Amino acid sequence: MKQVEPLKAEGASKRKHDSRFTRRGFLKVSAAAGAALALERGLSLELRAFAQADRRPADETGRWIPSTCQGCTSWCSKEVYVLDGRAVKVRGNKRSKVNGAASCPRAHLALQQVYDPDRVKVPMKRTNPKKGRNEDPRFVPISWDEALTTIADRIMALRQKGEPHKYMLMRGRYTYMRDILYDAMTKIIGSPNNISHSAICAEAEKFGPFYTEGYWDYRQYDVLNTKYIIIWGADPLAANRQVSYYSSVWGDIVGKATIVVVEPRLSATAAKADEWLPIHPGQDGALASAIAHVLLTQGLWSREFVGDFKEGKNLFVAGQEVDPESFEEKHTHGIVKFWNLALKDRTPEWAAERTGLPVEQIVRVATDYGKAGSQSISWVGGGPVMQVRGAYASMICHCLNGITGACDNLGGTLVNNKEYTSHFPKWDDFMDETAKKGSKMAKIDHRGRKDFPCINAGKPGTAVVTNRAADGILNADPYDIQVAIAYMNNFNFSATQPERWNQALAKIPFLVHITTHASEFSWFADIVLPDTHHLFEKWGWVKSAGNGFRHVTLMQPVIKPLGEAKIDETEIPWLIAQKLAERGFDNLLRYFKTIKDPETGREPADEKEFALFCVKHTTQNLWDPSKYQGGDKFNGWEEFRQAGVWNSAPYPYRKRWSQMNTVTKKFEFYSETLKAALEEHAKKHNTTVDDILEVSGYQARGELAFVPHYEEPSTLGDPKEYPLLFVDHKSRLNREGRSANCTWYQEFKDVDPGDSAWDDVAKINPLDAAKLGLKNGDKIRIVSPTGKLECTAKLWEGVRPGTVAKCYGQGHWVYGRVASKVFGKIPRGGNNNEVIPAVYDRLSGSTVRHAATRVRIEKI
Amino acid sequence: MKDLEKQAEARARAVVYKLLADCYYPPDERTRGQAERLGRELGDLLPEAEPAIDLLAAGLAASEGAEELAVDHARLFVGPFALLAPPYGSVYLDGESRLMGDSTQEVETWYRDAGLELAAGFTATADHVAAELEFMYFLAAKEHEALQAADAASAAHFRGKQRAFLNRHLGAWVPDFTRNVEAQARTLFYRGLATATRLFVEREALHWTRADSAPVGGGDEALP
Repeated sequence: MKQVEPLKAEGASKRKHDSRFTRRGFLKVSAAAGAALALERGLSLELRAFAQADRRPADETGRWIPSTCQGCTSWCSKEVYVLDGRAVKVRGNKRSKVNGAASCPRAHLALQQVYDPDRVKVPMKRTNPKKGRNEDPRFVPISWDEALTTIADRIMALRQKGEPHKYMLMRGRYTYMRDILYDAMTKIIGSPNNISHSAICAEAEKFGPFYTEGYWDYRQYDVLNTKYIIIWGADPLAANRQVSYYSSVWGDIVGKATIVVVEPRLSATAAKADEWLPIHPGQDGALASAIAHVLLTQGLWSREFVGDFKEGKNLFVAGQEVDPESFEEKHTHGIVKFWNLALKDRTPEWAAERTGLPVEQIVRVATDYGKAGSQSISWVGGGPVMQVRGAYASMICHCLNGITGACDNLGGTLVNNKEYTSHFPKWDDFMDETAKKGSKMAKIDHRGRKDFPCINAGKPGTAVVTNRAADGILNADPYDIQVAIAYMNNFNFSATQPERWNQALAKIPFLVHITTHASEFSWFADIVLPDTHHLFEKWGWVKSAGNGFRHVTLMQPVIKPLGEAKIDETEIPWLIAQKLAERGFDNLLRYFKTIKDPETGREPADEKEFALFCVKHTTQNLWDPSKYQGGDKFNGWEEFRQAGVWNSAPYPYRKRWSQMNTVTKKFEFYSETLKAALEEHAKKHNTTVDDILEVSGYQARGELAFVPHYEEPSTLGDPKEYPLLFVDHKSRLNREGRSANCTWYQEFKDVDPGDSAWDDVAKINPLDAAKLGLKNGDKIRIVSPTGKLECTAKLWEGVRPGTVAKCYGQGHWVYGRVASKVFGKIPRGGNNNEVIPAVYDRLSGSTVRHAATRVRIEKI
Repeated sequence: MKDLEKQAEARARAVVYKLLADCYYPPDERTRGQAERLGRELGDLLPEAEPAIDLLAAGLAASEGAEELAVDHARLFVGPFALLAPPYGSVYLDGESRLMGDSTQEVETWYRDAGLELAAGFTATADHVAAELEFMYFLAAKEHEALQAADAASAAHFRGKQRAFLNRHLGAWVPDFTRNVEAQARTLFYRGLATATRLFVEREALHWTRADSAPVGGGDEALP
């Protein structure tokens, strides 16, 4: 019975093949090529993918292991369900007092990220020496050894030439292990150029709180105890920060408090609010000024926090100056100066003209907000502040919390609770002369120049200007960058006017990108290194605040890293340090070896131990009972690791009143702190504060510069040529612009109000659409003075007429099979940054996203 | 089929599986030899694969230098961008186009039950085409070994394993996978390899179908 083609005897067919292969010039079969297989009788088993193993049963009992989600900067503590070595589910870590058991959709998308077939799995090198958007890099796999050797040789060459400052480190998403790769390694090599992404995030949001109450960070909001919330351009149910927490309690809040959302488009949060104020983009400062005006004229300020008129009679009357001597302040400084300089003429009628909101609505909101007393919140998001002149919008919107006494108070706005993590050991002693000299050079991002004050936390020239670094590199100003390493960033997608970045990256002779997913940035890299995914494969920790608590939450490898991925912030620098040491420069490795295991006192022996010891070292005060300082208490490292999170003590209300980190220790309506910083910057450049403000693009002159006040928006584009204002917003599903390659992202994209699944839409008010002759589904091009993008028209009442709103996140031209329509050629939708000009709020260094440009729409 | 024929066939099938598996690794100095051997072995077993073998040979002989092959291999099977022909079973079988799906877990169980685990240096997932092909090689080689030892029960056991693994895993996704390669490859070599793989796996499926239809007691293909 003949069943299948039997094995043919040696014969004609065999000879035919042999002759063919010979004729075509094949190499001779090497001895290694399957010699063992060639045995005529037996087959000696030759295994390549496998090893013999003991038969063991599958681990069918899964475990929940704690880690941390960094899909946005809520930084929620999570638990991952791991079944037989595979991550299958994610949920909130109920031990966290910040987020509890709650999760938002982003956490689940992480499962599609970690197991994305398009992930970078092995080190790869470019074989096409030409770089450009139209140049396929032609990457091929290389060994870790080859990658590290190449990197170390490049760094050594710079140091040998005495040019270590031409090395650059670009940072995107980080954990608090960042100091190793970002800071220590850059400085010990000898470069000043560690450039973080912070200025394309929301630094201007910190400006108002710092120059009023001395706090340079994001706030937490005491929502469960509040009666009234005004949210300015923030969307806490969708994006940043504490999305899980706020989503879980919002139902309660809606019942207890009045919620008002100020934003040109109907956000997820606006859809769950009592009032939506579709403000004219860029006019937030006008509305906030009018609210402050109403609060003062109607006597709705906090007597307890601000103080009162000595005679008891309210002298705040519209249009009238007030004698500062007539008012006795308690925990604040300069309320009368503030009134005289910035508020007395800011009536609701004045604001209505600018904001496009009815006078009655402005008065009603301001009055009801004031009547809520100190149990009220002015919640400042990126919308009003990531604008040209946004620093002052940040101040005027935030200072309402000072007028009502909500600052640091029950039901108001809170700062971070105290936590007790520690820093890495100092590395100054490991910087040799070359390094000391190099690291003192001017930075590539131009911070601190006369027209870039960048006054982070009172210190001029300290805030990063991420997006400006592209111009620095491109123009070799102040010098050329020769070697750059970047991790978990994608600046030529995530920064505005990204074409500048394309050109800048193409110009860097040697660029290394450490990333989980190859992106537009990787397209220009010489070497791409596979990174671990933070939620599943990495050691680290981060901290965040919410619900009146602060947590420090651990990320740990809950599964084996995919492919050959290694940890960006610890393992990779260790391996580079080893290679540098082999080349005679061992300072970095010697420094790394000072970070020992706190339990055994042992030096790390390899990169894996180093990664672990870095985490243990910096969190020791949290888990070592002998170092206990407060908050949750643990019996040791293992107990902390299993819990995955440390919680602070509850929030101590009002402890900061008159103890603030400002020049006067008070909440400053007249910011002596800002005055000192601006004067210091002016002095450094031998000029006046007015001159600094002029060259930096602000309108204030004289004393007005030191109080929160309204400045007109500075928006690019002639209204005749570009009739619509462009409104950028974020998605519920954006894992910081990294999730567009997940099918769930595309499938569920319509969870963003107004958006559509598997599409990228621009939301246009039907009134505007009628004028433009547009209908739903039309393919359109959005054109600004600096760029253009293509997407789909969506008619939607949830945008203010005269504006067009579009969600950020789509428009990847590479990244993966799902993210782009035709990989490398046609993006899926358009990247908002293509139409937004690279302009700045120069006091904070922030890159502008809002009220930045006008656009026109063309039908394709 | 006579015992010797059975042995020879098991051996030949094992060898082809092994060589196919080897050819899906990043190309190196062994690749030419392996491809040449594959051409010979497969040509003997499956004359229909001749055109594919011609492509393989032409690819290796012509202008497709080492770098060209390496770049094509990377863009098809490694990345780092849009992977054009993901060589992972779960991408095709689990409906979500992702790695480490339920089917990957099943594959690991198959390996474990056979007393195998992935080698330390093998960093791809368990359902990588090279691993699954090599696993079929392992099972066929075990069958061959049993036949040589005249251990009919063991031989039947391993034949059953091959049939079930091919049906449930390799054979279920390799046609889609190889069609991706055939559509996306820039080199003749990988187009030829894909076609050769597809034809061989289809032949295998047919082989087991015929075995299934054999009268009860007439064969040795009873499931273990």
